[in-house]
Amino acid sequence: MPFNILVAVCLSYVIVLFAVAYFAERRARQGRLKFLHSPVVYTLSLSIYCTAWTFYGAVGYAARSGLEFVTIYLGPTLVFIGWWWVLRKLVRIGRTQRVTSIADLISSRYGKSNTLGVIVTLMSVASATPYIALQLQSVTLSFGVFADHPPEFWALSGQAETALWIAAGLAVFTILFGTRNLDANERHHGVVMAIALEAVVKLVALVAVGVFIVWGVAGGIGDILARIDASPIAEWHLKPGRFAGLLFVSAAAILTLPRMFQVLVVENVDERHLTTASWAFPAYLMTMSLFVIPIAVVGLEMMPAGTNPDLFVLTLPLSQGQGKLALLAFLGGFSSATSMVIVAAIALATMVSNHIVTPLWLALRQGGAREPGDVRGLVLTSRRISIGAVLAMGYSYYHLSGGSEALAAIGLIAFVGASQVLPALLGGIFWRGATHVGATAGLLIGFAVWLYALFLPSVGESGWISASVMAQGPFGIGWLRPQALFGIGGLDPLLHALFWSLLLNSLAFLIFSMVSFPPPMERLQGVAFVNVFDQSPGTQGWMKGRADPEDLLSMSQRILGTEEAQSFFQAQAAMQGKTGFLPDTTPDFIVRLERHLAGSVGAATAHAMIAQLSGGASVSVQDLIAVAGEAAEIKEYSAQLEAKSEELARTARALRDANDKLTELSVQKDAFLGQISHELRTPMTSIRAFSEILMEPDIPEEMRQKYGEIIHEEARRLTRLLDDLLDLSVLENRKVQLNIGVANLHDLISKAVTAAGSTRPERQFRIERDAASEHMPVFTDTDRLLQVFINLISNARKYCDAELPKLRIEVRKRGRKVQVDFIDNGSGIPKKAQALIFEKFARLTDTASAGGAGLGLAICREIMTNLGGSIDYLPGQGGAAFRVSLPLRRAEEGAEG
Amino acid sequence: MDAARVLPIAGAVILMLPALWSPEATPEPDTARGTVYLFAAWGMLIACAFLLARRLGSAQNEEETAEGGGRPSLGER
Repeated sequence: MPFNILVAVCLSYVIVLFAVAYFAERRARQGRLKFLHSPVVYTLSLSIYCTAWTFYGAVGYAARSGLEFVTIYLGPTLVFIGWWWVLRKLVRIGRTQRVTSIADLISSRYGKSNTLGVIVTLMSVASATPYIALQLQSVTLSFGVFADHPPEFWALSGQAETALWIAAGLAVFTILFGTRNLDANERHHGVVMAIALEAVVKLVALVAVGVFIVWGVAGGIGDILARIDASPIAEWHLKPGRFAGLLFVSAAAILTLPRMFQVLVVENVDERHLTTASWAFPAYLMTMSLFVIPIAVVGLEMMPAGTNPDLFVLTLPLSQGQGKLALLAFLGGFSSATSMVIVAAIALATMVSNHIVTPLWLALRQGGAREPGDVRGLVLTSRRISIGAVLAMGYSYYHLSGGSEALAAIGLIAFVGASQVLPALLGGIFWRGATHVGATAGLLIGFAVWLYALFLPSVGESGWISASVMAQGPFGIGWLRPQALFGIGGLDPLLHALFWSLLLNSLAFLIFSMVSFPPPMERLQGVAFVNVFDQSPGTQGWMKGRADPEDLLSMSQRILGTEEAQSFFQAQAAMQGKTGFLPDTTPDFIVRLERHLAGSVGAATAHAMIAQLSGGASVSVQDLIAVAGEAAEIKEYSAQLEAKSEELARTARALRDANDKLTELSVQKDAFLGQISHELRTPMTSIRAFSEILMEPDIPEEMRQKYGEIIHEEARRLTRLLDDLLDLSVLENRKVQLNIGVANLHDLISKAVTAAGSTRPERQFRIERDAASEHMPVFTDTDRLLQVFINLISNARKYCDAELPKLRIEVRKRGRKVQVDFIDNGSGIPKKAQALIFEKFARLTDTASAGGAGLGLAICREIMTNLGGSIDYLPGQGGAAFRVSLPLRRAEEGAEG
Repeated sequence: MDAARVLPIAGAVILMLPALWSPEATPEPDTARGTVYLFAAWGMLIACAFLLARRLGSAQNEEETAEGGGRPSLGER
């Protein structure tokens, strides 16, 4: 294919990318974000994990080491299907703390310490540089393959020229779309959209090549499987150590690679997108690696010996005369390389500007944040320069290493370097005891071991570590040989470096965390990170609002831009109920402002800037104690409130009960009055009627006699009723005068039986008694007790409806009490009436035949209560049965109850 | 949720299984079978993750609405 056409295709593809990025930015500015914010775009943007290393390198890797290459994609798969553990928490923390990069996350977690931010930044730059070089190399190589007839200038200047052009072009794109603004939470819609498009292109390209190989060159799946077993790849034997180690390191890398963190956490717009990505991203990875082995196998079989297996994806279709397919593959590789470089450059530049340049600038200017000057411009400029610098470093590394390394090796070196952040990261979000001392020690040791045992040896024999050091160790110290630390040689160099760096890293992290004591700010951040799901109110970083709001506004304007800063301040002032632009500098407001600023310049810088304005350290131990005191007070207050409200509820309940009782009593009183007037009225009516008859002049003597008797009888009934009422009222008020005397119970019952004999004397009535048990002395008001007995016996005589009425009287002694039961053989009292019979005016039948007013049993009950005993209805005795129980010797307190 | 926690562990066990295959036991080349096994396991894990994600996703949505309609998206301004 002519070189010029290739360049033209490349340029037009780049122009399409520019256009997509531009339109995405425009849509975002117009607020039309629906598609930009879809989980599909999020998942596709994650695919920058698949760089040119995947696109070209995986095939080469498979050609060299068989199935081992899948570990690089299986590790991330495990992390994603286990998103509930780590990713969910990371994303939540990233959103609540407005994290701008992985260095920012670490520095923010460990007390907003900028030292840690600088360490992580430097480590990231160091490990990403060879990776960027790798991308440049792959694009350059693919150019070389493709341009079979390079023009004169190409042959002369060499391939390095291409790499330089590519680096420069990428720098321009990244600067244009990656540093448009210091947007809140660092979202770059244009870039994300462009890499999503590139993700589709590379997937389509690789799958197209794969399909062509499997069904176009080979004879389908069965044929491919047979060819796999026949090819040199089948010689491969799985090394369990390497398999596990690579699985682990790739799983770690997807969390800690700066560019992955950028798309995974920083560019995340909605936590729920993770749910989709949890399966869609592994599916993407699987599709990407599905055809790697077939391509490698067929490539090894068909290409002449000595062909670089890293470029099979390109050279295979070319050798089959499929120029267009090869062009697609070329664009796929180009996409993989460029998308990775763009995001990595943005992530690294953000870290460099937030953690190195801005703090330096703040420290160098004595006036600090109070001084006028455009921080925003400074940050943006420093970011642009950083992007250029990062790409320049990548290019230099490419130039230095001579572009001869196998792609996969460089990728793995970068992975191990990035995974050094893992202990500090996981410890930071799951363990409150992790401190910045531990994190610093772990990072430094891990980084040093990585540099010494893996990175420097990789630069080459001619590089910084001489062959003699490799063989005998520095200064002839054998156990410090870079690839056989502590004298344990024979390990795979990568595995060796991975093992020692992460082991020493984690150990240092754990030990130093346990022996050191975190300062207050770090404690607060630790709690905020570890308990991010508890929805607790944000940490109170600032206790005293000493900062002048005007200063804060002028500083914010320089970072956020005038308009945004003013609208933020206005909104905050409105929230406090004030008008204008200057809210009160409450701790709450300052925390929010700091978080807002952190979205642009990182937590540590934002913290430092506000610290300058509010005059020094933010949180002291005293402040923490005050917070704790306040919290305790609030807790106590709420406990008191709770107790009060409980008491109120109790009182309300008591009042309600009292009210119910009063209402009931009022009803009872009305009923009583009604009853009593009725009871009084009946005899009065007959007395009046008969006395009127008596007033007639000529009435026979016997009739007058008879009417006189009736009148007399009614008057007596009236008197008795009134007596009863009086009696009852006296008894009820416990004002009755008791004449305590002694009597034999037997005599009392006999008297009662005799006295009751006047009731319905015409009836045959048997009374069964056991005289022997009745002889006992009782000390009580004998007259009153007799009244009760008479009442009960005459009731039985009156109401017992048996053919042969019979009353059994049983006396039993129970300790210091005596029970007298009166049991007849009638039909008894219906169950629902049993509760009523002791009430006033309660009568079972309406017939006033018995002549009583229904007060008898009520009086009995009052008497027994006054005597310190009781009277109860005994159900289930085969008839009406009453039990009178009274103390043998009436105790004084019995008078009360 | 517990299933979501167990899945990666189960996945790690399944994917480490090839490490236990001893090459001597199978003298004839078995790379093809190994490939098929790994990709089948991979596909199965993705399917499980998909099913789980659908369930957890709806659970999460409910949680979000319970929190009061979810917070406003920070990117939208």
